Amino acid sequence: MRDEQGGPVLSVRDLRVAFRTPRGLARVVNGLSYDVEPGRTLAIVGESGSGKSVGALALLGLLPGDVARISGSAVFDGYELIGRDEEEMRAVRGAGVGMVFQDPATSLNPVLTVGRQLVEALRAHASMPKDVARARAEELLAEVGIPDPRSRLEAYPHQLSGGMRQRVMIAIALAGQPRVLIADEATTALDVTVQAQILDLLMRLQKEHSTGVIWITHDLGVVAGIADHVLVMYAGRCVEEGSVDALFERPVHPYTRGLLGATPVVDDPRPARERDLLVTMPGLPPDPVELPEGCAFYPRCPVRADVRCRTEEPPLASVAGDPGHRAATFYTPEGV
Amino acid sequence: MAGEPPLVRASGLHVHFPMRSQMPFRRSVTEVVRAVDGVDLHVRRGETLGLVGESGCGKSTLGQALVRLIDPSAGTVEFDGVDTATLSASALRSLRRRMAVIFQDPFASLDPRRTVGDTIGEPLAIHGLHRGRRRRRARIGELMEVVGLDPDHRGRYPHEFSGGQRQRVGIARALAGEPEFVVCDEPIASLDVSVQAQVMNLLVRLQRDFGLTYLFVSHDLAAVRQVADRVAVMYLGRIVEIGAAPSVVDDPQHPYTEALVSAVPAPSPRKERARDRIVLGGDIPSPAAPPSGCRFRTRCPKVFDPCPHYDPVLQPVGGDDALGGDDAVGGDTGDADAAQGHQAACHLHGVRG
Amino acid sequence: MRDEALDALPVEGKHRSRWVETLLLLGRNPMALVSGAVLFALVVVAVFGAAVAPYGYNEQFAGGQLEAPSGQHWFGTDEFGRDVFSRVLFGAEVSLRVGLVAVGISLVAGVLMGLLAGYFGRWLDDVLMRFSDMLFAFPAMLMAIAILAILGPGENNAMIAIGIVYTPIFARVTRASVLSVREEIYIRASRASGAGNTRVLARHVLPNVSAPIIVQTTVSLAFAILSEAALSFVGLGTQPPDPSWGRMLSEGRGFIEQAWWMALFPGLAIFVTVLAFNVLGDALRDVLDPRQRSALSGKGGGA
Ligand SMILES: Nc1ncnc2c1ncn2[C@@H]1O[C@H](COP(=O)(O)OP(=O)(O)OP(=O)(O)O)[C@@H](O)[C@H]1O
Ligand SMILES: Nc1ncnc2c1ncn2[C@@H]1O[C@H](COP(=O)(O)OP(=O)(O)OP(=O)(O)O)[C@@H](O)[C@H]1O
Ligand code: SF4
Ligand SMILES: [Mg+2]
Ligand SMILES: [Mg+2]
Repeated sequence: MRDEQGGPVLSVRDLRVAFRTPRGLARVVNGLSYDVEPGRTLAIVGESGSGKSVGALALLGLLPGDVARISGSAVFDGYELIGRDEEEMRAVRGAGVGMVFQDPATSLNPVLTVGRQLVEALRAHASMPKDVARARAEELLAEVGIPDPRSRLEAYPHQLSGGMRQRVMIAIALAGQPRVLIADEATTALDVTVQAQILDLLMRLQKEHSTGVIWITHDLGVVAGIADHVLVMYAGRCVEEGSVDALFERPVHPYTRGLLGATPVVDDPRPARERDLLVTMPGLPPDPVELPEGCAFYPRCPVRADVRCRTEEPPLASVAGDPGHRAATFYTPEGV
Repeated sequence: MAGEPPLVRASGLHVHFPMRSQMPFRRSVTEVVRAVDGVDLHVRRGETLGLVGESGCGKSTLGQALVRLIDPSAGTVEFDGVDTATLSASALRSLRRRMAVIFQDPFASLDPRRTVGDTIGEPLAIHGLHRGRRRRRARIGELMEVVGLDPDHRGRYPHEFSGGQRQRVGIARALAGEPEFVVCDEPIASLDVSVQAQVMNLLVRLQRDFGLTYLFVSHDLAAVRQVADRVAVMYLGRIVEIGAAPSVVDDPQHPYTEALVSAVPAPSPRKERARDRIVLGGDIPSPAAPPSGCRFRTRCPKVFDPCPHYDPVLQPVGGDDALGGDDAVGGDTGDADAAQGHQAACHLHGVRG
Repeated sequence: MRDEALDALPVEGKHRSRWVETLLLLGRNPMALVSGAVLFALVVVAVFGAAVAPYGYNEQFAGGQLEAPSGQHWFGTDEFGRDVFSRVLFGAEVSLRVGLVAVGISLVAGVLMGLLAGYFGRWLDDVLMRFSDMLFAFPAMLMAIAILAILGPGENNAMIAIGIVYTPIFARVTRASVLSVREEIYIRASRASGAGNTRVLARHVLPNVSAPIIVQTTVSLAFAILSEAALSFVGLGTQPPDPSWGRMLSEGRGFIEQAWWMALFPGLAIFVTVLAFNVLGDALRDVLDPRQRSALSGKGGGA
């Protein structure tokens, strides 16, 4: 998967994040490594609480410094991001790495017009006169497909629909022309028809600007549609990663297989009355304060392949005969 | 199954919300949100009717109007042959034992200040079921076991549970009065994939065990396809297509349903690459001012001459003559019957309205 | 056999111990403990003050006017030569009673108004809230004086007047919370189970609006004690020579330069009482909220 244009734009190695909590140390991200290539999309999937958002916020220095302990390395364009102070990070945010958050309703300031927020974002990255910034803001709104952008500049967030607000968020994230865009559940709150619009838009913009995208989601359907490379997270670790085809066609880890089995498909040819029950994994992900010894998935694992599962953490190892596909499990499914 | 009268029937149902200005003593109506705007629908005993549509199209309002949690502005709702509008307040309250709602948000639908045991036991207390402290306690424990909760946790408060567990509490509460009809209002929307599957399996199992009738409201077409016998598609307060689930989802006849089906992402990269997504332009119009003629015309890729002028009604799809009435007695399978009862409100199937 | 297993569990044990648990949790908060002790002492003083006081409240020491605190008169004497310490002890009863009764009146009336207005809305809301706006529009003191002008002066009437004056605040606080709680889905869920208005109001709405009401109660107690003082000062409340802290404070103001002790000690008594009520109210609010409660008792929440 090494890129033809000369290597990744963002390289994360052994990222770890722990929070001090009253109940003890919550180990939320436990050794995450990945590369983001220009023009390509890395999808990070996992259930709620698996550490997807925290892992992304750590890169941008957006975690509360007093309770979060971050270690590891994240090199963006030759520049180490971990351990920078607030001022240094502010230069990186937006201009280097942009972010779109899940909830379009709460991530815009309700008392400022859309235009004002866009202009502020633009002027934060490059000094430009107000009227130039305003013209550029109008261009950006047009670029993300908002009709009649000039008059929309005067609108307040509540006057826009959810889909439009998410477009504005994307416009703001793109204001600094970032080389990496992190989209954290950017379409989760939207209807499928609106989601389709936003996905279309993002894929077009990505192609035009050759942006590297980290797409964080729990929706495997979206991942199948837009990702090049997929990383599955469980309890703060990568349990499986590989090209999108490898992951969906030849999943190895019992957790990935469980997730796929639990996802209903719309074009299931069987008649509804047969109602094949979906495959489920019983139970819930572990508490980050009390991570189990051995494999974190062990308590929910349907196969429990090996005596080592309970005592040893399975290493992330290459899957035989499948370059770039790696899984952290002692289990080898039949036929692989 | 056919031939028996439906358990729930809505005719000409309208639910309008007048928005009033906040001036005291002069609460004049500024606009009217037509959340449900002329719906005819029936749910047969023992079946699952799926109800899909975009956010704000009126799914929850329709579901709650069917169990009379919201009063219709016009039209009637019959439950087991009885027009619910003719019932006194107390008769309606006792009817509530026979119908139940599972709410969308497991975080908001449980009273934070009451233990889950109290919450599950509330219908019992209201309807005077399983009287006596010990009997009631045993019944609550039983209900918790049915939905896969530990009865020893009855004294806990909602915040001490995960989302999936809270949704189970909501399901246990819904089952407490041994209802016949359950409106499941997006019961899985806020849950994780693996937990979604757990809850969906639970709902299917309960239906089998207790012979429940479901209205399964969701914006997730794949989930609806999984559990529903029939599917109704809603757009801006109207049913625009209805029919057997495989028929509607695999062979959609309304342009809106087509777009909806095409927009559902499939968890398979191969299918995703092969697939042609229909991307609709524009936003849903405001339900306070629906477009003239066909409500979908502002976003419809197939809009043509009559669309702005005539409001399409639900009509059978497929061959015009092959279809008798929708109540013909007969088996439930076979191709002819799969198409039978499949209706769409679109002028492409003949301009009527 | 099923029943046997259930019998082994304490029947409704959780319910019975809820109050005990509340008290135990309160006891874990040192501030709440201290303020509870202070309030308990106050009640004791209010009940037995007459027995402990070294002198009568109207006992005048000829020639001993405006004496500074000493071994004989711990808090000094006032302009009539009365022992301030004894008067503070006697005053506890009056002030506490006026505060509690007046706030009790406004609590019951205001919460009822707020519940009905907020829950039923529409014309009832318009009528009740416009009425409360009307009460609210007058300066509190003016209103109380007007009411006393009708009812006639005296301690009991003062309590009623203060109660009426503070009713709108409770009505507003309650109504505002009811308006948001009313729309909660769990209320709808309860109605879906067949619950009527009474049940919904008593079991779901009231418990969920209690936090701001508790806070308002402790704040109002302070203001009620001070209002009584002001009314007494203009001669409409407690009648001389009966002591109340408010009266003593306002009388003492006139002598602040010659005899600071006259104002300081009743003032201190009011301050300590009000502070104790506030601290206890805050602690109570936390303990009554199940979410705070498990944080306090160290139980982990669900994932
Ligand atoms: N400031 C914090 N202090 C303590 N724990 C935290 C903090 N922020 C996040 N966590 C914990 O970190 C874990 C991972 O959270 P994160 O938001 O990364 O999950 P996620 O994978 O993004 O889930 P979701 O899909 O729900 O967004 C959670 O258990 C959360 O409670
Ligand atoms: N009590 C109410 N007062 C005024 N308007 C309302 C009320 N309830 C619903 N509406 C409006 O009615 C329309 C339909 O709402 P409804 O909740 O039924 O939609 P929905 O299809 O369930 O959407 P979602 O998928 O977001 O739950 C929306 O425009 C909504 O704003
Ligand atoms: S009636 Fe016209 S606008 Fe409406 S769905 Fe059919 S083709 Fe489209
Ligand atoms: Mg997240
Ligand atoms: Mg809804």
